[in-house]
Amino acid sequence: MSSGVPVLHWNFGIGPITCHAWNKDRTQIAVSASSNDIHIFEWRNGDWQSIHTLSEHDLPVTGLDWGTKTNRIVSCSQDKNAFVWTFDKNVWKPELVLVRFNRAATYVKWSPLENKFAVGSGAKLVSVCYYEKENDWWVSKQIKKPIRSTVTCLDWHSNNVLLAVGSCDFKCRVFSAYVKEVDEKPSPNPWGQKMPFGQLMSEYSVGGWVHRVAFSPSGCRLAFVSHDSSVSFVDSTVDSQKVQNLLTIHLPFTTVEWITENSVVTAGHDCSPVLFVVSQDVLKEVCKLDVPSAAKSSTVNSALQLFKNIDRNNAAEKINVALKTLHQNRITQILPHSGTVGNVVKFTTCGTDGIVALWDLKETIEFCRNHPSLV
Amino acid sequence: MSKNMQNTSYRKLDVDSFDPEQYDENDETVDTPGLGPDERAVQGFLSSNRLEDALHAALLSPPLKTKDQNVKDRATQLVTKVLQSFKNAEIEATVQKLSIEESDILMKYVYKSMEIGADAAVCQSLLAWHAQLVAKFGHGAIMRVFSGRQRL
Repeated sequence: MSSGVPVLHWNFGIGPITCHAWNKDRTQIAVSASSNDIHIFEWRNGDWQSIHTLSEHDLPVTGLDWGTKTNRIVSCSQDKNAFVWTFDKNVWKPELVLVRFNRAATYVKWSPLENKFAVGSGAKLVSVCYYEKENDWWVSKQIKKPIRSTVTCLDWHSNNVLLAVGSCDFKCRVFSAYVKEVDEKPSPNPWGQKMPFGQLMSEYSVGGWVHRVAFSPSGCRLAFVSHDSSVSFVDSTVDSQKVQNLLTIHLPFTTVEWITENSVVTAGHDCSPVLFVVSQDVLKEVCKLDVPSAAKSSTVNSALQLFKNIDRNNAAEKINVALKTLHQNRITQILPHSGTVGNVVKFTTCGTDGIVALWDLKETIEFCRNHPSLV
Repeated sequence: MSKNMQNTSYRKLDVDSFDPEQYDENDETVDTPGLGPDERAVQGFLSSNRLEDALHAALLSPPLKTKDQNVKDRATQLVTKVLQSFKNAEIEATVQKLSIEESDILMKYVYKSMEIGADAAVCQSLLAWHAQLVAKFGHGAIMRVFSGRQRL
């Protein structure tokens, strides 16, 4: 930790981190490091200790989610498989899930009640998986039409039935993922009245691949980010068919997460979180939420100074390639860490630089206001 | 040493082309395609030396959805002509008055004009426009040229 900078961050030493997941009391973290292993670290004596390595996947792990109510982990991988991991007698035991893919699995997410989960894939479909007691295994139902390219992201509505799906066909869609075997019949809501499994409730177009989609805490709003450097916003209480597409000056975002019912944090290839708010039903950018590592603040800040240094030393200057931002490569995921649903106080980011950072939202905003020139 | 005696021509097959649900990028062409900017209006503004009005007029109705490449190329040439009419010192002030939607369209024209094969003087001017567009509208403006499927 750099003194005066309000962001804790750790490097687990396992390479780029594609996704991470926290346990209930945040004492343990599961991370996937662009390999077929899942590492579980526990906070002990002021440091993260590796306590488990989950090695059942054959190819890089692409999705990870820790069900905090049931203490089960679900993972998916490029090997087309998904596993449910159950903790039993100090061992994480894998159960293979019948997702029935013929392409890589790309994303996985527990439903709010953790009685089912959804897996996205490159086979242009989503499998909704639930436990079947009769046969003691996890089976799946599949949502196919009208998805026409790789599914990149998923998010569950708080009613445990609706599922938002983002894909590479430049579309974001809201489906019903009602499974009569495990769900109570859903009530009508702003997204629709009747919700048989696989029903398409809404469909939105954007100018690039959709990288992440998220329902707001109440479930009435939807935010998603896409590769054309835009953030999109839908308020179903106003018009569930109307999408607001905010073009930004930044590099593309890879992830988005709701902080309150009126604010979201995004992050991506700019290596820095960005805060947006909904004000009078309009999505607006507020500020970048980045803090520099103290040691990196004093960098060569002009080409003239660079050339002067070269001339003075009569030698080629060793170029400092470190970025001013905390993360040194793109951010791959944001997760809520502390606070309540609808009022996130702290969130974590993980990135291709192998760092996991813990951001205190209030302190970070205050820091950014007091040091505008550094951000 | 073993040698593969089997017929390996199957490896050249594009199996995805047999997928009945494969994504067709041209499927989205359902709206009325833009027919390109109004050349007479633009020429009128140019001859009156109203360069900013000419630029705004040239950015209307970009032919992104038409399949006629000639229409696209004529639009690109027209926009390039308008860009050439500005002095370098005027570019920054003009870019400041563009909306982000206009900027995205203009950036597509700048890249297309470079691709068509500009001579040195034209390329110099295009690079100046590109620099000012990025200064105001950031990397996002470049990304939307790369990621969009509707091309000039």
